[in-house]
Amino acid sequence: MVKQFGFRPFHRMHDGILIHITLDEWPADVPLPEDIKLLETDDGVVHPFWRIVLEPNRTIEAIGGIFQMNCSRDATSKKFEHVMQNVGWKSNGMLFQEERRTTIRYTHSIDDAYVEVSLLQSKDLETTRVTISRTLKHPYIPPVAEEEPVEANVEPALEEVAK
Amino acid sequence: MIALSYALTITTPSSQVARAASLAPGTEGLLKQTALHLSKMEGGASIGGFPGFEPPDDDERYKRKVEKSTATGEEVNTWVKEINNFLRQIANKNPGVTLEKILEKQGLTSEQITSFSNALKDVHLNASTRVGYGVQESTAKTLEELMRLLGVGTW
Repeated sequence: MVKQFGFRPFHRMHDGILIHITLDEWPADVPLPEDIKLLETDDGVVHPFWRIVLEPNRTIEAIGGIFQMNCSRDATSKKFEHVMQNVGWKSNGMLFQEERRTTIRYTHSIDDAYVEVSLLQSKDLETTRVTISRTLKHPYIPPVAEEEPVEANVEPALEEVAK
Repeated sequence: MIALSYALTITTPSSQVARAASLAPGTEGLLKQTALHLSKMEGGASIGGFPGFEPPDDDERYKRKVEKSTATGEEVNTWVKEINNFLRQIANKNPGVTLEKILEKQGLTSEQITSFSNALKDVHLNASTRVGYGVQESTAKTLEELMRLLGVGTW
């Protein structure tokens, strides 16, 4: 991790960078229910991340976080459906339900962005762990290599003239 | 993701021995171990129809870590390394075969296969949030490389 003197701490990944963000910096286009909180573990709160992945022909921008709701999975699911629909995200039945986990994929009409929400109900049914990621894939066309400068050929040509 | 809404019926995939027979020897046990370790990071829930992880009853702290996802970053790093170890062996024993195909040969239904890959994606995100806070970049990188090798999308 590069920490000192930088604009803010970031982690160099094998294919890009990862920056931890605060809850205030969480993107407004992925709304969260009011009573949601960041997951608290035995070594503190787990902060969301903003990750930029650089691939040869595209840049992937991902936001991810782990949260907790003090209510059942069904109640959490309903709250998400409500807040997500308000800003144009649609699940269109992209829902995968298991005994204790539900995974919902939301897409947006204006671009290729998608949000995946995974809800994991605790055994005692009191809490739900919420894992959220928003992924944007930006196409990238590498710039065409510059032509070799003309000057590079001048010198040998002059030498030829001198002979 | 399957565009359906349904409840997953849990069966024991390992009982379908005839299909599993076409897998490289040892793969079945490795899949069970992978599912068990994924379950540890998924609150003890059943993954892909395999039995969920049951923490010891007499260890309340450990039970809480599993059931409430309160494990520290270092613990997450250790658990992900264990998953990486099993995935690596599965990939080595079945070169060029996707996880989906391997699980299919094991006898899992399409719903159970989705359950397995969704758990892997959850674990990937969990590891990513902890990079620099207990989870080593190399651990996250290995998980991503193995997921890619086995045809499981990370993003």
